[in-house]
Amino acid sequence: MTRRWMRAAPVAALLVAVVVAAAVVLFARPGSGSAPAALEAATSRHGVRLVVDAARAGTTGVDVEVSGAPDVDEVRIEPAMPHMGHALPPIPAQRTGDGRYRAAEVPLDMAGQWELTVVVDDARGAERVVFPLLISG
Amino acid sequence: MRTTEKTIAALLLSALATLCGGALALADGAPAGGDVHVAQTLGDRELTVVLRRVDAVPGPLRVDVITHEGSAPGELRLRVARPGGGGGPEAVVALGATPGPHHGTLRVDTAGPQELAVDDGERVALIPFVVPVAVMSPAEGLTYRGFVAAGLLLLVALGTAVTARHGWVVLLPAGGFVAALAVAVTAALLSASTPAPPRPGEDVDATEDAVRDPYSVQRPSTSDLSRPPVTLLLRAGSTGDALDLELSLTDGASGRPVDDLLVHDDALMHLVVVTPSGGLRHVHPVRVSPGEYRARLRAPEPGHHAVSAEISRRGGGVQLLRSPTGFDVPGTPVDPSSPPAAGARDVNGTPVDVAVTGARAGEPTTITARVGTTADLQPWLGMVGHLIVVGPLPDGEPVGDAAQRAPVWAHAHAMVPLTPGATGGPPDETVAAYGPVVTFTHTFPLPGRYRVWVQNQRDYALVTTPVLLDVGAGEGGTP
Repeated sequence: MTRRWMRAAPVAALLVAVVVAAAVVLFARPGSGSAPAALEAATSRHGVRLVVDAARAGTTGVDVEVSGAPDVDEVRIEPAMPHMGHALPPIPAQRTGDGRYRAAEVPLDMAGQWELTVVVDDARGAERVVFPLLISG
Repeated sequence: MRTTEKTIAALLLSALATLCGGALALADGAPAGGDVHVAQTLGDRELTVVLRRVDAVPGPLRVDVITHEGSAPGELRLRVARPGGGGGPEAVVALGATPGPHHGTLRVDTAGPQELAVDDGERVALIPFVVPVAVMSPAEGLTYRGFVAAGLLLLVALGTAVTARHGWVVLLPAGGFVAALAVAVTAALLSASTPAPPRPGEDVDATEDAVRDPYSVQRPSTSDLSRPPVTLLLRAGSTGDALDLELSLTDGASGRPVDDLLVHDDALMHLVVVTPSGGLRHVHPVRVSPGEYRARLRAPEPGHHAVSAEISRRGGGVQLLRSPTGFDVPGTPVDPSSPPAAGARDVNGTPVDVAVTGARAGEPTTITARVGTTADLQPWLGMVGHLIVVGPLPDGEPVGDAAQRAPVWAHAHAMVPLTPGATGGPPDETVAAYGPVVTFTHTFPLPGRYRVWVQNQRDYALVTTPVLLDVGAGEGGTP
């Protein structure tokens, strides 16, 4: 009886391992929403990298890294929901370092497809880059 | 042996009970649809008709009629019928002198497209709506049937195991059990990601068949559900101290009457009229027959009026129809009044303070209005505030004529803040808990002098605040 059990044990262990692996493969999803979302785009004078702290409905911090032409006067973020025909007042981003800006409180209160327009203002005028951003509920 | 047979009989009976239970489970489900709010300018009254969700057919349809400040007391007769079906049972709603909700209950016998007739004794407004039924997706049906089959086959397998002489016979029902279980589990996992069918009444026409089984609707060969633009024809007829506007909507391609308007921002049609003196009327014409709408304007001014209508066709987006003609009221026009620019003012007893930041063409301009002193604004047309923009307007000209040629007519909203975890849809007009600060952001495409109007609801009265706004040239000059 014991010997028979000894023979069955590895088979049972293997079965359990296969079931667990199958469950992991079936139900594991790549994480989304709570992780920071990073987006990049470029204008004729600047490269812009946008990092949204949490792409979930609610108020979130947004970091903007601007490369390329120096002497940037101001960076603003203009959030809008094209589907709703709704635009928010522009939010100025504070300079936190060389080419780095941060808007600490961007109220993206509704889940859905947003557009964050980053305005980079310098002596030659304003440049706009539009970042599509999906906000989960 | 006799005991075994009894056991099998008992098992089969219980299986039958499971099957019946399954069939009962098929019949229920989450109720479909929600409340429908429709603003109606019926005669001299501005009403909001709220059709509450119908939970069961046949069953009651509760209708709330919300009256506003200045609404005369009286009676409304409500009827519900299939389109073209004539009269059904009536309900009488007595409108009191105090503005607020008034209730009536009707009975709905069948699911499908229906019309609610609102009769004030002079005119009958017909509001089309759809009584939905809870439907189950094919994947959900497969899940139920798969589990029922798996249960039955398990019983058969058990029965076979007890009675069969050869062991391999058991493999047949057992294999079937595994297959049925696999089908049920797969369908259950996939049902969440099955695309929803086109919504009858919203994406496609609400026929009886489409409402009863939306999955039977053949999707059009293209994913483009949109329809041709609409032509707006306008006639104005005077009736004493009021003006009756007759609006006909025809299809821009076929020329036939357009009778597929959706309730958009709580109305079938938002009609905006700019008067010669610079006043704004925002009314909601009632549908009297397919493609025919009527609205009454009180105290019309002599002179030219500019008109636009915001509508949304089934399967399409929102369109702004600007009447190329407008309409004229005979008489000598009064001199246009010039509203104050940003700052504090009093609007019919409500203190309103308007602040503007930006005001340069091509850049977002933020207009902030503080209406009243406490958070007591009510949602009007589903929004805390509406901003209507007309311009740029040349000086020294009647505003109606200038607005007729104005390149920009726009309409922005201040939305009701979302309440996390709230259920049952957005709040209705009876909730006076918003504001007092309402904010709009709009990018003016051209520099110049605009007239904007901020509209809010407070104490069931509409507060319309006119503002004169000068928009400067943008950084890059005029585009």
